[in-house]
Amino acid sequence: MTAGQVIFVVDDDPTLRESLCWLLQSMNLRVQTFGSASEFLSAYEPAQAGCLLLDVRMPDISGLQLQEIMAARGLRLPVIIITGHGDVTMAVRAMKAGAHDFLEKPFNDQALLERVQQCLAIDASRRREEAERERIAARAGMLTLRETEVLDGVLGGRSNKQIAADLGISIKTVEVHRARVMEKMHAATVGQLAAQCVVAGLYKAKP
Amino acid sequence: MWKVVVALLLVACAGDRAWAETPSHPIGVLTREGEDDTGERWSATADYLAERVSGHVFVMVPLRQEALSRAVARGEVEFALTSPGHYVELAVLQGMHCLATLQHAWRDMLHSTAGAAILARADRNDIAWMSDLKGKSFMAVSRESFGGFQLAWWELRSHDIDPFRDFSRLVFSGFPAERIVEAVRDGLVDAAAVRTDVLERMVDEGTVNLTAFRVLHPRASAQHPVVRSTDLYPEWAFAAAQGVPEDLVRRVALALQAMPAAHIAAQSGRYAGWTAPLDYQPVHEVLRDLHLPPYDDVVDLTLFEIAHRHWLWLVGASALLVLLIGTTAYTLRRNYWLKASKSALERARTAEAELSHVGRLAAMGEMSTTLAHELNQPLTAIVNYAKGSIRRLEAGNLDKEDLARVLERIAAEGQRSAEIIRGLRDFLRKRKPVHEPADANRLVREAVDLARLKAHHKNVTVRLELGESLPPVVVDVVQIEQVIVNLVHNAIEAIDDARSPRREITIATQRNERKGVDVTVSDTGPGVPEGGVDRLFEPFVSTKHDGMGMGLSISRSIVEAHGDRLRIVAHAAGGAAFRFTLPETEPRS
Repeated sequence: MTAGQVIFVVDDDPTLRESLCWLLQSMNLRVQTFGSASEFLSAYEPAQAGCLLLDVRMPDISGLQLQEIMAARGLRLPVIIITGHGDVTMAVRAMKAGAHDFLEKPFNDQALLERVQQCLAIDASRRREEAERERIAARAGMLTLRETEVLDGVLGGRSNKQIAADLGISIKTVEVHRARVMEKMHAATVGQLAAQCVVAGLYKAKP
Repeated sequence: MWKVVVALLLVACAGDRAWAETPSHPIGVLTREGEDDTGERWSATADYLAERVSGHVFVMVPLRQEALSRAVARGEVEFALTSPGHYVELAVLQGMHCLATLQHAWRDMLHSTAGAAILARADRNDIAWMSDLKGKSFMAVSRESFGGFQLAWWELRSHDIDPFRDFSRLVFSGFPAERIVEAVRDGLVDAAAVRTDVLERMVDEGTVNLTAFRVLHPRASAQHPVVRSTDLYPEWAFAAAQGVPEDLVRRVALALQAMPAAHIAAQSGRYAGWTAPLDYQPVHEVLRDLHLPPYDDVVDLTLFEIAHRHWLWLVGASALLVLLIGTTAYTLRRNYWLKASKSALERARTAEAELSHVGRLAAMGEMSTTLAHELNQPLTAIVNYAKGSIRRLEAGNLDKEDLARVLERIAAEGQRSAEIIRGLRDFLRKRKPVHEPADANRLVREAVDLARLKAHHKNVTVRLELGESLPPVVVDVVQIEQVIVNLVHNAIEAIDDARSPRREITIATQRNERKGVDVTVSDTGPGVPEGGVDRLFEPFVSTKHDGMGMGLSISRSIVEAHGDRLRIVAHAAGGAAFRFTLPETEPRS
């Protein structure tokens, strides 16, 4: 769990909201509470890591609707749905809409902590992956057209000689470009290079 | 058996993983001769469940049909994933119940049913009708397969064909079933039965061309376009054994039904998600008709079979019967009208009783749901405040002012709850006018019927000790039944929570000298703790998670409205015993 993560609580019942805040803070978690879905939407910065505890039944925008809006806006914060007792139908719908888990009121504090920690871990690893992907994409963006062509050849498993023939340039030139690619992509081996490109989705299987 | 043990050991060996202490649940999955990849096929489903039902691990244990039945009977597996025919057997013999029905996809449509097709080569003009199959050779996958053989058997029977007698040869090929279709195509057998999904799969893979075959007695529908010879029946069932905790069962059911059709687990299991459990009754009927397990020893013989087996007896009995009928016909005719009117009266009375029963059930359900829902908010807040305070206290960072503020909140939420209960009591008091004369014993029986399911589920025996020739009592039947149900539920939970070795509840009725009938509900649970008696009657203390519990507080209010008090009395067996009196006359309000 990273220090910057925040648990967002969206619930229309002020007492419930506050009590949940009190409980989560006692677990050394950072909490922000909102009384409605729209309040949350206008305040939330997508860069903010964490997870969302969401009451399924709320006036105006319900928990399910908020899930839909978040999906449409590409907000991928993990969601834990809070349902009333025995509200299985709602829980099923929320899970189908992509909620990570659900909790029935009144909930066990240990169960709450476990699920929140799971969600935070999921969010953190997703963000790590995304950052990594962006970093690699940025490096790849610095390659010249020729270097990209050489990269494609290398990823395609072709030898320097073959690449030289493909592109109509000398082997020496290929070697120079290849060294540049490795340098710009911060890769020590072709294996590392390929792994990076797979992570960043640059590696497309040739038909 | 050894497979279960090995699978569990494997889980235990993964000791360094975070879920080392999490409970692991074995799921028995049906596998058949020739199916080698069962474990592999379903392991992603187990992983999916572990991911969705946090805090639990699931293991798929591939077992043959008999071994799976044995494993369920011995409690070695908690869940079973099996064919409709086998599921029905497990449901009847082991009390398993279905959580979800398997779905498969064909051409972008989701199906949770399958049928059987009876096939012959299209160029075999001598096999055009079912009746042409007599004297021909026939292939099916296995005698135990519901979709692969039993369904076809049932259909053949309705065309007067006994597969074990009327075919020149009956071959069971074993799995995979694809080889059956190939055998028909290659002319190795004249005809065969396969499950519809086998054909679907082969058509999609391009291994066979449907036009090369003729499906006998064909039917199809827009929802299920593959031609088949039988009706459609539910697909495989994911079932839970008796005694698996309700919460776990519910979460597994939920997780399965929430699985998207294209999920990786579904893909590697070659299916397309799960749907809410379908009605398996039609499967029961097929198996019953065919005298197959679990109906293999049921005496449900057709007249023809009886005649066939016991014709000598039948002739003798018929002769006797004719004689008897002759002599009694005269008397019967005289009594006929009298009887007819009497039975009509009886039927009307039964129907009326059933109706009022249903009405009461609905009223009770409504009240308790409202209460549970309303109380949930303040209760949740109180629990959160309290738990948050405890955690801070343990960590040594509880600020005094903060604590005072939170305690204020807890008190306020307590008040809020009390008001909700008061409101409900008022509601109960307001709908008072229905004090009517009633039979105390009948009332107890009806209430116990309502609680029977839960008692059965928790393996608790309910005994009745009903007094004889009791006077009628004047009560609000709905409310008093509610009190009894409530007390019985409390007793069941007390016994269950304490894991009492004796699991018995006794409900006694007895006339007392104060013009009333005493009703006593006693149990073999741990009893009421000393000093805990007053606390028992407070709101919240007895609100149960199953939503039915109205709390002893409500029960007490009802009894008080009937002019009495709910009392805790000494109980010889050591458990708790609650007693209240039903008045013989209407209480003064």
